[in-house]
Amino acid sequence: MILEEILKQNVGGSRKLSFVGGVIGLILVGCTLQFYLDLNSFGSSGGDQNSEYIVIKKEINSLNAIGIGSSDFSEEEIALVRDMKLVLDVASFDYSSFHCYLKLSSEGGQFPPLETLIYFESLPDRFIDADLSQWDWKEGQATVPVILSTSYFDAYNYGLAKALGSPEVSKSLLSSVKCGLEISGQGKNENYQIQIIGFSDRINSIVVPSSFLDYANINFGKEQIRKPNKLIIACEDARNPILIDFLKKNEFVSNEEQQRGISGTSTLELVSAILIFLGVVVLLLSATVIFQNIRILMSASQSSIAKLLLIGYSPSQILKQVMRAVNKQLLLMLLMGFIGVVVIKTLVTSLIFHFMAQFAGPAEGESFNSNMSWIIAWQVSVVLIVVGFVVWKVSREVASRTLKQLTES
Amino acid sequence: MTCQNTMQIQLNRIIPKQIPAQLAADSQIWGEEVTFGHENMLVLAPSGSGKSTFCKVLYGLNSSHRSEILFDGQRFSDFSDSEIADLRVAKMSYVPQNMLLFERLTAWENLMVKHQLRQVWSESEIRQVLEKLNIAAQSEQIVGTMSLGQQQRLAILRALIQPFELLVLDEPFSHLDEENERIALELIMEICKKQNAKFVITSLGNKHGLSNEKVVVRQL
Repeated sequence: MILEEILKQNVGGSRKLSFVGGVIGLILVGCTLQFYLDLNSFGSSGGDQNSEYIVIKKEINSLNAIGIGSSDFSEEEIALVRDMKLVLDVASFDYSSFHCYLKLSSEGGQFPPLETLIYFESLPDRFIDADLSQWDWKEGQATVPVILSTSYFDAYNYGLAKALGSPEVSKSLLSSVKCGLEISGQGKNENYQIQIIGFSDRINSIVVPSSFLDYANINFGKEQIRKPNKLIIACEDARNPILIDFLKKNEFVSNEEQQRGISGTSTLELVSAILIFLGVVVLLLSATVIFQNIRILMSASQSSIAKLLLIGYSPSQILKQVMRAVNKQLLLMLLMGFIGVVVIKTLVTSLIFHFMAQFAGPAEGESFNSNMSWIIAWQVSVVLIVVGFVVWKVSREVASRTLKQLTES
Repeated sequence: MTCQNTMQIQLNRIIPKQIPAQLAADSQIWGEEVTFGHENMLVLAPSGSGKSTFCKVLYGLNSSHRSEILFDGQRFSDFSDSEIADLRVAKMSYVPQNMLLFERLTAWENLMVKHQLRQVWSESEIRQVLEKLNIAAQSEQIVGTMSLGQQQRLAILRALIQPFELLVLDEPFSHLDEENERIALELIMEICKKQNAKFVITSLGNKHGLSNEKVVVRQL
């Protein structure tokens, strides 16, 4: 204890400065990493089974146009995609091979009267990103549930409605309207009503239940054997370069949904990288101040160290004493860093929860809250501990070298 | 007077850089082969003739020479840092002329810094000797505020509270009055006798009442 007093007698205010800098640096690095991990996990848990989805097709070229090439997927190609190690699940789209005629009355002037040919597709329910509580059709049922692509909905509001001078419609209004549908083929026809029960960001099409499409294709369709021309793939990371290379190599083209995801994720990654870089810079600066502090402390204590050596203290005993003070500072810094990360994470999580509950609805808020907690990720703990260990190791080396220089002088 | 158990320090024709050639030529130590440790020795020299340099050489603090110093037959230059530290807590003790106490600590704390290394004395024994040296009242006083005489007695006591075979004292009584010098010298001789140790004292010329039967006198 007395030895500690002797060496502490020359400690200045720069020690406090390096301590504060170190804590800020640790918090900055820890928080950035923590929020990057949180947002990534929140983003991926927002979809089904933490998967990302890509719709792939074959490029239409001039050979297709003259009937030589084909944009259909063969059994072998589907198997190739299924066997790809990064692909978690795969399914093909089925399409309508019969005539579909949509009839929409003006509904009291809310819509332009519309009669048009349309098409339908179907795919396994597990790939659909919409509420499927009304997603059911049985033979004899007059109303066919439909899921519409959000981009089609947008195309109506921002394109067709403007062009025809009709009012824009909301999703809920569109969902309340039933349109007439006439299907025909094989010399017969049937009439139904269709009702939009949901909207999909993932699927760029008009989707009906498989049971309806199967029934209609059998009874009205031209092709009884249809080869799929679109596949939907579930994977962990749609941006994985190996997967992208695989698709490119096999001349498959993907939809653009993931491209938007990439752009958003890249921005997140860029901001995180900048913050982590800033944190590392602050940490490096404060570490330099810590190292410099050790030098200053020891140089200022040169006379005391010489006296200690004179009365029989070994350099290793003095080093141990110097490091005891450094260890205390580093441990406290690390502890404060951990507490800072936990406090900031808890505060920000609770702020986002309230924000989401207020603006995106209680369900979104709950969903966000259930994914977040005050506990910091193990990766953050590992990074903070590794940073602490590296600073300790370098501090010991600096102290040892400085002591050697002082001893020799 | 001789004792084979004490540590032997052999200076082999050493002339430190700080010593002018003229002084070295007249010296009974510089440039000579001299062994210390088998008898008590009083080294006399006028001011500025290198008494402190001599003590530092003997204690292994001065290496501004090319010759060898042997500690118990072992070259000092071969000693590791921890071996030097061991030497200074178990075999040799030193009272520098400028005392080299920790001025911001109390007298007692200064003694404890040394005591922590080898606790061969009990704290009550240390307090008794503080009484004997007439500095018990200053034990909780900051050293920087003590008189030089009090500091000198404290430095002597600090050197005594460890095991040693050779005690090197560099003008240890320069700030003491006759009475305190007598008390301190008696204490040094008593403890050296108890530890079967030898001492080397440097002095400007004062023999401090030491007879030729008790010490060997050398001219530096």
